[in-house]
Amino acid sequence: MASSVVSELILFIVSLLVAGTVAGGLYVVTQDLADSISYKGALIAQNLKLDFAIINDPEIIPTSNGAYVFYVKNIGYEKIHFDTENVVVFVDGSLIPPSNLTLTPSILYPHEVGELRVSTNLTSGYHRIVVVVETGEQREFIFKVG
Amino acid sequence: MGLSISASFAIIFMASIIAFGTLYTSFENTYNSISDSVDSYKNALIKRETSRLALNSTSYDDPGSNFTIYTITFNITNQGSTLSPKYWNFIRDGRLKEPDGSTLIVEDREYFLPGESILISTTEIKDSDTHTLTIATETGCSLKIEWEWRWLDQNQTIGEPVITATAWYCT
Repeated sequence: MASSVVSELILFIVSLLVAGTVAGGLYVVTQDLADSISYKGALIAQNLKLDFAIINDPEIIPTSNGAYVFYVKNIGYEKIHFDTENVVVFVDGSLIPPSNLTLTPSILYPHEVGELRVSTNLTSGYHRIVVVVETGEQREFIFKVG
Repeated sequence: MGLSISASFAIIFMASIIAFGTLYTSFENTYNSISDSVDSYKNALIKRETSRLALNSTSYDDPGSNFTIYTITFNITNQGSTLSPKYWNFIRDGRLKEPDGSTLIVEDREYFLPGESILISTTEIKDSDTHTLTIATETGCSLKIEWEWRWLDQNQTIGEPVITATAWYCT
């Protein structure tokens, strides 16, 4: 009789432990899933609200200290991190190293215009610049030199 | 035995309800957030697609043959949706230029309604170069105006600015 009670008790405790473990696992997995959904959702939402344009006159790209100056305007609803860690620039398909880029200011708020200075040698004719920001959003701009 | 099953079932059932609640809240917040962003994106796209500025007319002020400068005024008409000139930027001969009240004057106004006109004046030298003014609106679309000063007589005492090209484009 006593052994029956003990075995029932052990069974009860073990079943509680198993159920608790399952519940804990479920909680961890669910929380992880929920966090991932929130993170990805926030990223998609941010991407949809982020927009920018290169507003230069395509026929006259000004230069300053040998660098071509491009004007990047934030036409979205989100701020854009405007520095060499978050912005990647390609000219005619070639990656411009961060050391050849100067970006001001470091954060572009909605409606603000930033200066992107690209130190590179370009021949006379048509060229293509592609600016990629932190979210992967990119804009292409075709311009003429000379 | 029965008690063990009931207790275990109760624990797993409660955990399932909490998990469902957590997931539901997360889904709902994400859905709302993306839905708001999609609305903003759609509005921005519609505004961009429906914005359009056009050069209606120009006038100029030539202070006389003794002066080497003149002022040209562009009468711009809004042929699209409502815009906000306070968010516009101006590119003069390739360089960004802020309205300064003397060499670049832009009518101060908060909104630019469809059908309305706005005056933009700029001062330029009477040279033979082609000059440009690009008006970049808040939608990312721009109106570019090209003009040059042309002498009407051989002595170069009388002349006038002539518009050589205009373009509306979105980048």
